[in-house]
Amino acid sequence: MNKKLRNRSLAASFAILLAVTTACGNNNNGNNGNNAESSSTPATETASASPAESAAPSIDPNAKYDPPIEVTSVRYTDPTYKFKDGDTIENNVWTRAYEEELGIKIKYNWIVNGDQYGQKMNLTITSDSLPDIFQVDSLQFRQLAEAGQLEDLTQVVQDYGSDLTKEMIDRGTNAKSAATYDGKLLAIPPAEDYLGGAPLLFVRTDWLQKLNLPEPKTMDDFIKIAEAFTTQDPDGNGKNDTYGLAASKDLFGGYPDFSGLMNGFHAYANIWIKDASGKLVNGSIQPEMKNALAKLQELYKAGVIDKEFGVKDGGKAAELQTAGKVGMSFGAMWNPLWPLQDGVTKDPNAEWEVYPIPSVDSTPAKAQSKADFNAFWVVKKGAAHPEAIVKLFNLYNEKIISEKAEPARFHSADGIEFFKYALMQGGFGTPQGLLSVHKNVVAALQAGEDGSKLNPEEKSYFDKIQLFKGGDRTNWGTNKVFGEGGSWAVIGANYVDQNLLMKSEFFGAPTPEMTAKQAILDKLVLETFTKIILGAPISDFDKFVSDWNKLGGEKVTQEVNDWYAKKS
Amino acid sequence: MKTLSGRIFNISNTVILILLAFLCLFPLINILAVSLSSSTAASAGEVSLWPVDFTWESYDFVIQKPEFLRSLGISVERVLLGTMLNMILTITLAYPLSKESASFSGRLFYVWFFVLTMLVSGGLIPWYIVIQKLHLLGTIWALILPGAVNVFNAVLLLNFYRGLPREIEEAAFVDGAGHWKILWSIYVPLSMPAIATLILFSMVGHWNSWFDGLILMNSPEKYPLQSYMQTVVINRDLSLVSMADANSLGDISDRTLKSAQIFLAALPIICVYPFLQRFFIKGVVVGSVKE
Repeated sequence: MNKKLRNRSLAASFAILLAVTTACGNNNNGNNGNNAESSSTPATETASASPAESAAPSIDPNAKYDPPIEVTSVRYTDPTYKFKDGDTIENNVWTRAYEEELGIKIKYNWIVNGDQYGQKMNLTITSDSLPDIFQVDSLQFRQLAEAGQLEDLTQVVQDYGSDLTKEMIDRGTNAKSAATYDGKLLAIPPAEDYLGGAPLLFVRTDWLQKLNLPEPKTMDDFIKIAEAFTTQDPDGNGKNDTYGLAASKDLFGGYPDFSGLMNGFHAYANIWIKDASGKLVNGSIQPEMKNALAKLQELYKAGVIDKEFGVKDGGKAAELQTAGKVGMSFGAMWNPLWPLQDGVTKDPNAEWEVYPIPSVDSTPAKAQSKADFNAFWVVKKGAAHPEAIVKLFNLYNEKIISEKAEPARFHSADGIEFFKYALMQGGFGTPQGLLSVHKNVVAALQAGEDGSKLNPEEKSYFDKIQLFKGGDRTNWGTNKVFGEGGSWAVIGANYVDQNLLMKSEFFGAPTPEMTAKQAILDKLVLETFTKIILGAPISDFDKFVSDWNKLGGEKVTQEVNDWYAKKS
Repeated sequence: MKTLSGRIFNISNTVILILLAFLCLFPLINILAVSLSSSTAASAGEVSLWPVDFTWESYDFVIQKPEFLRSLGISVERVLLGTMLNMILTITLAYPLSKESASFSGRLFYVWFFVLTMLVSGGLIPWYIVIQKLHLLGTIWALILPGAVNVFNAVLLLNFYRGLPREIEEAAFVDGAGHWKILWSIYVPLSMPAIATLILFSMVGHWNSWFDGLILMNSPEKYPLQSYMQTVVINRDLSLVSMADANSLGDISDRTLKSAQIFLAALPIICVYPFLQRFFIKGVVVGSVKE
């Protein structure tokens, strides 16, 4: 019996082994067949070689592929995507336009939610299953470029790019240089936006009026207002439960952002600035930062900053502001849309105003800004149709921002945003950027027009502002961003017209030492700054500077300067 | 028995345990309260244990949300298929391994063969590549097959089998029963407490796992519920917000909606636990005791 069991188990395991191996064999055969069909590289290459060749002598950028070609890609979505009439991400107005007007069928190898895209892309790169057209971040871009896995787009952009496409690619010199490797343009670069992330000061003006305070023109005004908002019960509920300044455990970021206050002290957190000798240095370790931290410590002691800020993220900090307990915050231009809008919807008396950064002395403060070029559209080396990416981009530009745009079909209608379905979308904006969006919208408002001359994006803001003017407070945020006296008005009048923007001088892909050490350095900055704000002796800053250098900062600085020397 | 100190001990014991239980319950109650409040009250952080401005609105919305229901369906499918396969493989794997080496000479090899998989794994990328090359990406089997043999569960069950009296098995052999007959007619019915526990383990495991869904499914329409939930509750990195994102930040940060979905997603498991709980404790302990 024992023997029987053993024999049987052995036989069984052999059977399984056999089954597995034969199954694998079948699989392999099946795979090859599938690959030939689906991955498009070998099959379509032969299929469409003849039209490509015949088109070679005189290139017609608008020619339609006949027979249609299939291009593989990957993409992200998020839960805010809405569809109508049974459309899906794989069959919608954009995919149909690609097919009908360009003869390009898009096949998505995978679709994932936005926050998982980077990780999934890494898996795709390591498992060597790149699609034809895809989007990568700056680190992935550098890796792929160094490994020679990307197609050179210089020539296809020349040959196939529409005027608008070329304008979009050329408008940001820094962005274009970030997308160039070894003199070759390897990617369609993202928009170059130094303004969208620059910090602004948002102040509850109904509280200002109630307490009879002046507008925050200088840092002293700002401090006075912050203290008054904390101690003089601006919400009038008889309790000492308000704060002057919003804060979160991250210290920096789009909301709430301490870098705004630091800029008032001419200190620039986490960006690369030029020192007196023309060398690039990191703003976080400059002596001005010490003064800014000392002031923050003072404000914390005085109760102007929430005592629990060290455990609250941006979303938690926003709750306090929505509840009407915070009177001021530094943040990016979109803050009125979130979180300020929630508080304005809740409290009919709440009113906020946007101000530039107040300065601690007679030199006007410069708002810090860095453009992280982090979205590059690239083509896999050896893809059958590298020009397809240019054609797709041409179509997007034509349908969204050109004079021939069809907003109701391709941009949005009834609150459903079609433009998000496009393969290449997001972050391209218009050649002139959001500042011109604001200017056009305001011009149309002042002229009393109906907005029909505006481009679709402008029109959507214009309509919302009209609703707000008609008494709809749920559109207050759009007015405060794009309307008169809104974020962009302040950015235009101060940061642009008076040249009060401190741009980070470094905009390349992360250097090798950054890849290895940046996380540690960021953590060191965050921990030290938080400790000092919470009351650690301000002299800790000097030790922090030497720690920062020792932990890799010195080498990073060296690399950044090498990059800068090579660039110019 | 009822001395003063004994009574004090009892009272303080009860108080502390009730407090502990409340600590565990608090987040759940808070989520429930938030999900039943108006969204302005929730985003202002006014809700703690009792709903403010009571409303069913968010549940209405979630029930009509196709993504939620679709993911729920996939999760149910996964739990049913996955648990069934898990149990069949665990039961049949544990049986030969529970025999003595004397009666099953290759036993040691097989035991190590399986135990090794508990100790070392290939890591994320090889795991992904294997599943990719098997063409399982984007199918429900990618969520079920890679974890189909749970060695830990098999070891639990193996020990339980060993605790059963050998005489029953020998008597069955004498009466002419084969191994299959003995397994299905004697071992399985006698091991029901352990098997019920393992069913619970397996169900909860399948229900709760989210990472594999996120990595292995090639479109959000195929996400099981918990992968979908991860995309709903994740916090945005506020330093990377573009204008297009800012327009939707307000929708995404709707806490009442998140809470309603969290609560609904946890509900099935909350319901299953009390019924399988008694096996749960008994099964795990019994399996670990040897004669």
